Amino acid sequence: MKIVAVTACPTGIAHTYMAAEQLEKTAKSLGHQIHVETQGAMGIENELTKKDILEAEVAIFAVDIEVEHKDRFAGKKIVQVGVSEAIRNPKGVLAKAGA
Amino acid sequence: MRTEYRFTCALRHGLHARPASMLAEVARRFAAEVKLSKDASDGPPAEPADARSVLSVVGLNIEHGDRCVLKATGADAGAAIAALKEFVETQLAEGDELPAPSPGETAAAVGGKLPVGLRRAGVAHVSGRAVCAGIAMGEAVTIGGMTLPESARTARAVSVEAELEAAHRAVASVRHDLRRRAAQTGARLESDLLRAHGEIADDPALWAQIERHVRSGATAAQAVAAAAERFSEQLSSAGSAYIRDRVVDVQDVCMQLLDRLTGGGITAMHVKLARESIVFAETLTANQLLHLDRELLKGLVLGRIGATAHTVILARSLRIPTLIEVPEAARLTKGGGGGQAVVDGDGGFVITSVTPAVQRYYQREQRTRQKWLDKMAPLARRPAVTRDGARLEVGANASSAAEIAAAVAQGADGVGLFRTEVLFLERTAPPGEDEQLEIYAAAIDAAEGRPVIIRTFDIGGDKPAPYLHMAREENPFLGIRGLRLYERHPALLRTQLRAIVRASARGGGGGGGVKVMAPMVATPAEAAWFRGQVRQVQDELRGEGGAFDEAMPIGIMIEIPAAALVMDQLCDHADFFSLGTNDLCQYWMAVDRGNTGVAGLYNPRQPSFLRLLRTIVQGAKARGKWVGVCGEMAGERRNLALMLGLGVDEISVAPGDVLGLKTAVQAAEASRCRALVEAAAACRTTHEVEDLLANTPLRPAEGVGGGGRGGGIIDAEAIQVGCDALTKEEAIKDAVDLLFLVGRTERPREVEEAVWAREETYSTGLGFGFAVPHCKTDAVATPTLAVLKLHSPVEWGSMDGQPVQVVLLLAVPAAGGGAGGGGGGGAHMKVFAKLARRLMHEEFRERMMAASDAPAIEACLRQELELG
Repeated sequence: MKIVAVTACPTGIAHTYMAAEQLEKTAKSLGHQIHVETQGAMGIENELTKKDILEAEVAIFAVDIEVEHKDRFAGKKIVQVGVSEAIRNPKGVLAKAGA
Repeated sequence: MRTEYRFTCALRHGLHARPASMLAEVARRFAAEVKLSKDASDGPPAEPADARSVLSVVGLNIEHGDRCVLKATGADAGAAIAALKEFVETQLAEGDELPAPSPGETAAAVGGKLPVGLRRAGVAHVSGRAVCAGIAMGEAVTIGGMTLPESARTARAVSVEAELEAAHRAVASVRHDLRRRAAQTGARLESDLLRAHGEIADDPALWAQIERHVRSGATAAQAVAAAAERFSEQLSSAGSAYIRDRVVDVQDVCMQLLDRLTGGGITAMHVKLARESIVFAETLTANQLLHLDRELLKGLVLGRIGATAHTVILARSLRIPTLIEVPEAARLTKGGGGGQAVVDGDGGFVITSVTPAVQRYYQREQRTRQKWLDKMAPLARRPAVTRDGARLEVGANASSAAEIAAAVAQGADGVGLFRTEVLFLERTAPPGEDEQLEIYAAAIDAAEGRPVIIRTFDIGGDKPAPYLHMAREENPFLGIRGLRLYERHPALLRTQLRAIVRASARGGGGGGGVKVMAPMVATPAEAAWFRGQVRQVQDELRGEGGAFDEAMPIGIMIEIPAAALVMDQLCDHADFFSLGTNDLCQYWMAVDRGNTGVAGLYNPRQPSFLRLLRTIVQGAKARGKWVGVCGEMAGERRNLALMLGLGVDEISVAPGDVLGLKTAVQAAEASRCRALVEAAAACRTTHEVEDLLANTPLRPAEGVGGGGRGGGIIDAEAIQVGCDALTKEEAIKDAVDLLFLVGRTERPREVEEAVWAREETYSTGLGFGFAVPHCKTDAVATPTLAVLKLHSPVEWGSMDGQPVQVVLLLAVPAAGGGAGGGGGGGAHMKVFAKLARRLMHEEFRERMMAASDAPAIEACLRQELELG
């Protein structure tokens, strides 16, 4: 399954990247293709392309703040959770997304 | 004969203590009785005051615009009124300025905010105004006020004559005692204070009150108590805080009188401290303070007492952490004391229930401070030389030997500016030659062989001395001040120069000597004149066979822009220069920095001002002259690159800033700064200059993991294994203090607040025994990391409910530390991101858990984060 995700926490120093790592690590171990964009203190990294989003079946927002450029995901199935949930229970988050 | 004179009080601050004492002095020259009263046309006439008594005059509470009447009776009443009229019309206005706050007072905290670690522990505290910094712990001891013992309260007067005689003897005895102690003490502050108290004991108004009460049937002691109460009430209602603070002086003298009259019955004067103590009192007189054991007195918590009270000035000179304006100060301790108390003179609060948490907090605080001092001591002793070998002396600005001693302890290379005008202000006659010599000698001794630049008195319309009889000026800053005053008062300058030249014999020699410098020089002729004056005094002393340093350098302040363009000519008459950038910038930009309407223009980073400085320094250097900078500009850390780039020989700063600047010089590279000055001078706005400074580090950027001081993200010294923190609060404080100790922040309490603010959103405990507390704050300059491995795990509110054993604290600048920031901020942030990601992997966590000491943790981090 193809998944895109965005992670973002209030300071953008630690949890944004932890959540990204957890989602990537877990999705891969389950045999999914995932692309995670981080919106942290260094700005947007690993930015999702139009193609990434178009091809994905679902978008996961693991965020505690507003996602930037949310309009890119118009019409997409979105599963939104808090950052800590993605860190604590990445499998559960992926399950919510149908993966 | 009887005559009178009416006038309206033109003094902005009313007829406060200083003008009142000047008025009293004039009145005392005549035999006539002179009464001053408020001309209260719209109310009952106020009781007139004896114009010879400062106490009574001040007690009238005459404010700006009040109409007043002076009435004289007696043989020379006419002459008295004529003299007083002349005095009021020509000189009274000069007593209008309130005394300037002493250095340090302005820096004192008006605080009361508990550090977050204690706040979270639910510690109760009472806020006050901190007037002397520092932390002190000790037994709480409460000292009461002036209470008459029961027996003295109920005693009956023997006879009017006997009581008057007893009161007389007490006054004479106190007066004698004060004079004796004033003569004996070596401390100037103390002797001034004792002399001032002697004047109160002599005040006719005080005696008149005592006599009146005795005549109406009171005992001598009851009469003194009543008089004290009356004056206290009168002064307490005054509009000016300065006058209110004189209440304590009156109480001080009366308390001593009462103690004599009751045979030592005033218990508050005989308190003996048994252990290290914190003294709590509603008011404490200076005399009470002087009677306490200074070894055991660790802190003061005072109530109704102001910052200019002598008690406070004295406490500050003794460096006793002190809070004032603490509500119900004398009732804070349980049952009159006995328990422990903590005074936090940095935070501005007192804690009277010292729980184990409080004790542990302050133990840790003291430990951190001690470590910092130990760490800094060797740096302070090292010369202030940049990494590429450029020398920039870091001197101190001071006005007392105590300040010089403090600066020397911080590693000051000398005294770049010893101000002398304080010796001339706040007194009715100028200081004599020997008095000055004593003060300069003490300053030179305190400098321990380092050079001391003594600046001759810089007095002007903004800080007048009454005996100079200066006419009111429309614009004192453009008027007769500094050197311009000397020609009008040649004797004053001569006396000072004699004292300085004589003091030069004590200098260290070999560059460690005394130098003299004149303020407010605009023309070569003035510089030549000043040099001539010094030479004349030297010739005089040579004739007398006195010892002095023949080679004493003679310099001038550069604080008038006109001087900048004739540096070549000034070099003929000056051995060195010191740039007074505060005034120089004001005159250059035509801006009064106290005027909020234009203060924005006052910025020493104005490109044109930088060009001016460059011209001055180049002019001096062309002739090989020494140049220092003693304005506030020199003390601001961000200007250091400009100072290094301009190529000045010295910066002279506040004693408290010496060490920080000295270590910054040691870490900097001067070659980078020269190009920076050129670029800054070419900017068009102060913003551009400031951006340039913010984005040009003083040293070359180091590799992200670089082991060099201050540059890399990982500093072995910011890793602590076996930390004994027992709570999350303690662990966060310890981690932040590590950042402080490795020089990553100068404001650890701000970092701590920011970490806790982040912690409020949700816990940073990740589970598996790891926590990553973090924050964005202006209190750090670059992204930085501290690692703690705790001896026993602490509760953190983690995701998995497990306690935490490894703490990784990340602090990032609030602005500019991100991708675009200077100093490799972006690269550092990438390392943090990687660290966060690695933490999600069990192998990494296991390696970190297994690392048993700091080098092992450092190696693990470097390898995992690929820092090499």
